[in-house]
Amino acid sequence: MTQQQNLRIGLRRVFILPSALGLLWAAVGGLLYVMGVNTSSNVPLILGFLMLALQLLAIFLTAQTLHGLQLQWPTQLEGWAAEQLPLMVQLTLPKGSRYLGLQLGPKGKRWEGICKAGVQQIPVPWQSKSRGIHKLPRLRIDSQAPLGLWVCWVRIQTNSEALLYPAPIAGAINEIPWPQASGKQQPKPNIEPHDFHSLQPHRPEEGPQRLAWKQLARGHGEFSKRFEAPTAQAVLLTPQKGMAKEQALSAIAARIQQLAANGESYGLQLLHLNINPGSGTNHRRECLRSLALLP
Amino acid sequence: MKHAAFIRQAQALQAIALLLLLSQVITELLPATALGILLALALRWQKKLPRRRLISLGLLSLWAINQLIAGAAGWLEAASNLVWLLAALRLLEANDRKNIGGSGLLLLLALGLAGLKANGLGASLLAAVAALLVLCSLLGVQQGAEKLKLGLFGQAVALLSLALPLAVGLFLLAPRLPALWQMPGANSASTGLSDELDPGSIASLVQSDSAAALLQLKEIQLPPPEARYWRVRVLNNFNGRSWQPGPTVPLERNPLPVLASKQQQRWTYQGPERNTLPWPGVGTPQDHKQRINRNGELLRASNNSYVLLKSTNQPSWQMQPPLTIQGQWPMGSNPQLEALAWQWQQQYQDPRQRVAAAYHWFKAQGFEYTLRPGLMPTKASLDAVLFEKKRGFCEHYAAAFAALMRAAAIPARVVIGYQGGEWQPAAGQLQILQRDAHAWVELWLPPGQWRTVDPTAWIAPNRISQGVAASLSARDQQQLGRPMLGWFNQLLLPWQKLDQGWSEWIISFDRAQQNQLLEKWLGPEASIKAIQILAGGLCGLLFLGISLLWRQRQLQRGDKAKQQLDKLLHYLAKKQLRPNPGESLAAFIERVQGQEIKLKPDLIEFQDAYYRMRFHENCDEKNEQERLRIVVKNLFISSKCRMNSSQLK
Repeated sequence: MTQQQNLRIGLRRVFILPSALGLLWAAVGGLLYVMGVNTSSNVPLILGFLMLALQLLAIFLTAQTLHGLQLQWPTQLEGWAAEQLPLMVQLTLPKGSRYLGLQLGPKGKRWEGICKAGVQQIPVPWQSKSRGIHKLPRLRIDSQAPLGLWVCWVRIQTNSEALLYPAPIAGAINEIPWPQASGKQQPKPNIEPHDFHSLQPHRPEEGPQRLAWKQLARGHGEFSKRFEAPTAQAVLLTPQKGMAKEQALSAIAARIQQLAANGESYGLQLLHLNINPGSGTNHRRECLRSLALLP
Repeated sequence: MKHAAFIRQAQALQAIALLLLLSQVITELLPATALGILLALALRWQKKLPRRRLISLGLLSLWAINQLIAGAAGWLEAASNLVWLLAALRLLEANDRKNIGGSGLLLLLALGLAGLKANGLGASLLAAVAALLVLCSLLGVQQGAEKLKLGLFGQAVALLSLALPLAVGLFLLAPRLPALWQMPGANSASTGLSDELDPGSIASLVQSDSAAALLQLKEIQLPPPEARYWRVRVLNNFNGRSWQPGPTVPLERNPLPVLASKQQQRWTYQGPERNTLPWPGVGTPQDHKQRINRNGELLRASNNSYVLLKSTNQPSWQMQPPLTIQGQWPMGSNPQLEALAWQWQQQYQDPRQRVAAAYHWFKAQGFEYTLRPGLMPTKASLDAVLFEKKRGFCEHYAAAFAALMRAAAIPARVVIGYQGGEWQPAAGQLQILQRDAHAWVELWLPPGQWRTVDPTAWIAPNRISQGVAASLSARDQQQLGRPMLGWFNQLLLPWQKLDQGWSEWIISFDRAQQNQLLEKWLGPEASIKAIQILAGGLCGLLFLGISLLWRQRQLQRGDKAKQQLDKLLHYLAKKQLRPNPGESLAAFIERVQGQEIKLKPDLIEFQDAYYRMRFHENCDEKNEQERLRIVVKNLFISSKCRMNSSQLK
């Protein structure tokens, strides 16, 4: 299970500054004051003063909007480079609802929306072009409630890390049929026993061993798992000679994605890295992680 | 494009606010502005609306053309119309949070501009409701409320109630700067006297219940109703149809005051900004900067409150010989009137005889005093008043009589101002309303003096002695909005009192009154003290707010046992161990012990210390705090050690 980190936002972390609307609001209040003074008319004057009073009051109210907000987020993420990888933030709002904005780092894509009282999951988008382990930038949460005149925000050090696989970009690679890869006797491809090809309606004579329990538990009905050994020959994926390293890794990652989708068996043969052919989710993850962490 | 429910709600709230605003300024709207606003509101709910910007551009161009054609209106009117139109167009564009905020702000500015035109209690209440709706729209957008709930209005009201004391403090104490520049066209507002005597201008004014001026008398007896003529503007220039002010210069010196006398009139002008102020024509201004001109007009000095002292002799403006313009008559403009005047000129040598002949002639004609004389022709309009329709209001009779006298070779001019007023014995003051607006005539008569002659008094004597309402027919009363139903008037009375109070205490509260009030409260150098109080108040408010926030933090910090409990719960939550709803601490700890046996001693220690701190009477709090702290610290340290050892493996 992935580790989670918790935080409850206190006032100590909150920063506050006037928003663009707040600056315009102050300007209109000033304009109404000048108009009232110049025409000796008290209605614009009162309105101007009321706007100023509301703006001052809004400082305290806005600072309170983030107070008491509870956050929980995972400390480990995995995904592809150059693709959006959302950090799923679980946000608990004690009461009321408000419009919030969440953003990872100054260049991150912003999530904006209404958060209601209670618990909700918010996907805060983030992406990086390069593979490897990345430390996530600081998470910024902001709000302009109640009137939009001030913007208050907190910046949180998430201490989360993202492992990014090479961006899957199709390209030329070498595929060596695995039994012919060397003259020695090779072990059997590592096919995970829990991997099944498809589901078909369950018949009582097939017994409970083949019953798809997960689907049954989800209320989708009784199905039997149909196992099939991969028909295609297992291959070892190696980069083409003379190709740039990152380009080659991207091409291998794309091919892994393709082979895994077809349920075929594959392995990796790189300079210092050898992974025997296999299939299944864990194998795919192992291969991609190795590509991501390759020095 | 379908917008979120809260955006649509905010748009609807702002549209209602705009309609409320329009209801206040409907008479001030240029046709293009009115058309543009209605079109924008109608298009607002069209599902497919191509090229909104093109529509906006078209409507703005229409407004500009209309403004060029209308021409005469001042820039303030033009700017107001533009802001009202822009508010509607902005609403057309407001499809997201940012634009809703912008359109709300523009609506508030538009409300402020509308307040220049309509500042009675009713109009101000409407403006307050409109402002409340704008606040609701801003709150709704920030909260994303899907359904319009009463709670939203409650929040807006609460917000306004919190802001109101500060706004009132600022209104009373914030220094009022002098006018930064002269506002052109400010004196032509509809709720006040116009500078021209066009047919119908005063008839429309007497339908307004707003306040015009307040007169307090000190050691002076109130003149009888027949003598209550409060002059504001003198019109010397006649073009055959309407009367306009001509050139004039201030007198070299105001009449000297009687120093020993304590008699004084304290005036507060409550109408829209203007350059000449109401006064009875006698007395001398206490403020030496305030001047009287040779027409007998009292010029505005710095503010709308002024004091007139008893003067030594007859007002000198009455002796100023007529200017050439005051005898000029456009020949052939009203032939029948000219013929009658020519006849009197031939018949009577003495001008006073000609006036007497006019009096008898007016009495014999059976003129009707009415608000609805019907449309007068463009050419020979005064002939139509005197010889055909024989119906009219004070402005018609004053204009026609002054013209008749000029045609009969007597220098004449029209004076506009107020006549009458309502004496309020409890307050000891005379309240003059816009409905008391009146026009009369001054003639240059031997032995060389300007004399007041009021032809309306010949036709409708009740107008002068009892006010406008008493001299009109039942149908006219209805048009005034004051039907002759005693019970209805009784119902309206409290409202009128409130309106009067609003005008008196809020609308006419100006720099002078502020200074007076501050001096009363704070003594000498009141302005500086007020600024100090205001600055102190604002700092105090900020300090209060910050200390409240600080206190809140301290309270959270203060409960040491809870802090340690929070830390423990946080630690256990990392292990996916969370208390169930309604589960007691003891039950939760027991459950955790079952799952995490290693933690058992620490948890028992924690529970013991926690309960001692909470419930034990003679507990050594510091000791127990320390116990709790050490337990939690141990848990975290042991957890880190376990993590490190697992990483090493």
